[in-house]
Amino acid sequence: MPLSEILFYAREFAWIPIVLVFLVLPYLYCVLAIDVHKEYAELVKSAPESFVFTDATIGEIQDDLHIFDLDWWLIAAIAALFVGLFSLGTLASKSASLPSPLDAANSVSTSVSAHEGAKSFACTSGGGAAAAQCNERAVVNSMLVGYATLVGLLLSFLLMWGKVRAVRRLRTYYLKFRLSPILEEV
Amino acid sequence: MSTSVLLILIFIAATLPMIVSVFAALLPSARTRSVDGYFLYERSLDIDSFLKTSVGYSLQAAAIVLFFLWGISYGLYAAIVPIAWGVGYFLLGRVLVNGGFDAFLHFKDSEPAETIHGHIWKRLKNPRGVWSRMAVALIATATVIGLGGTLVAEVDYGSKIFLSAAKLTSVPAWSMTALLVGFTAFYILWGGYRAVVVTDRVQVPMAYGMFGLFTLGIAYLVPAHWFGRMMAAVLAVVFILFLRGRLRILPEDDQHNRSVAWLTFFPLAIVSIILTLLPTRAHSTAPPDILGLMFPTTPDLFGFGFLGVLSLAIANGIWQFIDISSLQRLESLKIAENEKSTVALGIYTAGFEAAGGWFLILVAALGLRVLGLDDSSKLVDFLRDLPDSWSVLLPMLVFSATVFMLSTVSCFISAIAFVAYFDFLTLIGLNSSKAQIKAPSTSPLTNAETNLVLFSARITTLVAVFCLFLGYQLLKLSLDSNAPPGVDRISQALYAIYAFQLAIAPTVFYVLFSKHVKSGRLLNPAPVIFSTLVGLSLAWMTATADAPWIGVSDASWYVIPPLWVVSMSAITFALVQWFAVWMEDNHAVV
Repeated sequence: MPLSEILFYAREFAWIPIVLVFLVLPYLYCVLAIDVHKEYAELVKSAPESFVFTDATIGEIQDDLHIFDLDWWLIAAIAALFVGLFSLGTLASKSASLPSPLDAANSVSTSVSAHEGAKSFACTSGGGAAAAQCNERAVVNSMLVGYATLVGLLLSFLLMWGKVRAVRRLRTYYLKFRLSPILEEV
Repeated sequence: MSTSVLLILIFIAATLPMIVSVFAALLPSARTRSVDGYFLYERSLDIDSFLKTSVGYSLQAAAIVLFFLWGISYGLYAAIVPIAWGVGYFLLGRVLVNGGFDAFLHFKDSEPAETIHGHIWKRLKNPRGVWSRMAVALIATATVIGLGGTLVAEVDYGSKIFLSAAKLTSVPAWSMTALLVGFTAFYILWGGYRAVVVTDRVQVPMAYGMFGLFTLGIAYLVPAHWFGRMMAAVLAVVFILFLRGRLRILPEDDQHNRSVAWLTFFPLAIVSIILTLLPTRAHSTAPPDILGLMFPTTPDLFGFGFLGVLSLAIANGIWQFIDISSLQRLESLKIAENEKSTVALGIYTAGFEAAGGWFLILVAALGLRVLGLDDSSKLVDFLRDLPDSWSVLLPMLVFSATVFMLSTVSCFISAIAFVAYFDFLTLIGLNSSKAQIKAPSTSPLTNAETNLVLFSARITTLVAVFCLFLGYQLLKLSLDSNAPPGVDRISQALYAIYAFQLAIAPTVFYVLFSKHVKSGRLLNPAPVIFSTLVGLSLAWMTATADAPWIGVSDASWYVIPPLWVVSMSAITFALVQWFAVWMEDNHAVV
């Protein structure tokens, strides 16, 4: 795919990573947290009376729930981090290392039509040097958005992994419940 | 390397440590189980984590700026600062072994944990009286101003390195400082000291790795005469000693931490040795006078002057005894009565590594000096303009500075929360005796009570950090408005900011080590109040002074405040204490 097309899609669909991180990720978190808390409540309900939840057991369960038990302080830190990450592109545009925004603005022509835009997004007017400068700015912006999206994806992977770990532990406990009457008899 | 790639790398280098912090906070080991865990890691901190948090605390973005400044101006003479810092840890270990901290750390009883201010409070006459409360409020305030000022200064330095590396000239530094303080505050106020330790376990090896590579890169670039090889050889020795120190204190069965130590230092040592053995390369220009750069001719002793050297030695040598963050780490350690010598060995190793980390920065500064950098304020531009792809050293520096900054700032915020919870909340009557931490058992509070008290401590800390941030910006504004062009007055005021915390030094030393206090004699609050007030006033006057006014050379007057504050507050303490004792004895006779 030529650079002009990549840049076009990066600009036209820049809202997608933001929606992913600020809507899909919290939604995923809430859904997973509700599931895991429910499942652990079920675990406690279905435990045989003979089964004793020792401090160590409770500690283990709380460790598993930790990732789904975050409070506002950490959520605020994560939100601040992502706001910062998604602002990196804007911040980069203020860097004196890159050509000034005026130069770039003069050389950009963006089409409304997606298909045509893909062809014409490249910095057309203003000569070769200006177009290159414009592309440089857009590339930096796209790369930084990509980086922020990657972090968001890693975080969602971590959440899913937290659920996997919790489910594994649940399986161990249910197995123990099944075995506990047998063990008592022994 | 193209400008865009370099810019992207700089942005990634500046944000990656924060992402790592957040990811580390999601680990189950970061879960705070109780008030004990929030402030003191359930008093079960292992020696390896103690070492990593001590090193994380010592390696600062401010140290990068200062050691580049001093390394370029005064060469190896600046090594007196890391030496004094290391000696401070050695003294701390010796005092611990000799029982100097027994009363404070409560080895033999199950008294609640306390800050050093709380420890002093218990030894004051009429502790519930207004004078004793005022004395405690004053020393706690001195600590918070000193610690908080250093905190904001640290973030200021860290963000300046990033802003100049990314050439963000139009972005105001305060906005970046506010963002960084806000992020770290939210994160640390959530996880408390546990979060600090967990992130330092990850961040310190990362910082070593990256800064080690940065220094090795410079060693490679240094023109091929004996200095480049010597630099690589010194680095090899330092890394091997770091590794040896770690392996000595880690138990044989702690495979995880032993592997981390090997993985951190062994590759760096190998690369250093390879650099030492590389064949000599020709260089185009005549080699500079290396000995002259290492030991420059300075008008005053070691460049700082006799008083400057004394001040630096005192400030760095006694810091571990009065700094609330160092004492918080010491209190968090799992120390049994019969394990003091093992713990002391860990403290010596931490001191060696902390001082060694500063020495690494100094070596890097000297390397860059040999490469032609003659003004530390041009460091970032110099790295950016390095030939071929060597400008990659710039993102490496940004990454190291950000990690250094985050680990230091998190220790500071946790320590301020510690003071807020134990001292300020107790002073205003919000923290009942029930809320005190019983060591080493779990908190007697219910979950709801714990949450309420922690919430109050978090809000108090946030308010304190916000006020300190505002105060720092105002100080900066006032200093910058009077400063001549090109002079960074806030850098010059840094040691004066440290000096605020040193105002409590005479009181702390008297309470910890005086025979009178050990024999059970209570201390009159008057010497505490007067000595702290004198120290605070002098710190303020030296921080805001526009020119040298205390009779020392222009070049070094900004490192004098600690000496000035400690000596004057000690004299005041001694005089008032002598007078108070005389009055009491006289009154008793009458």
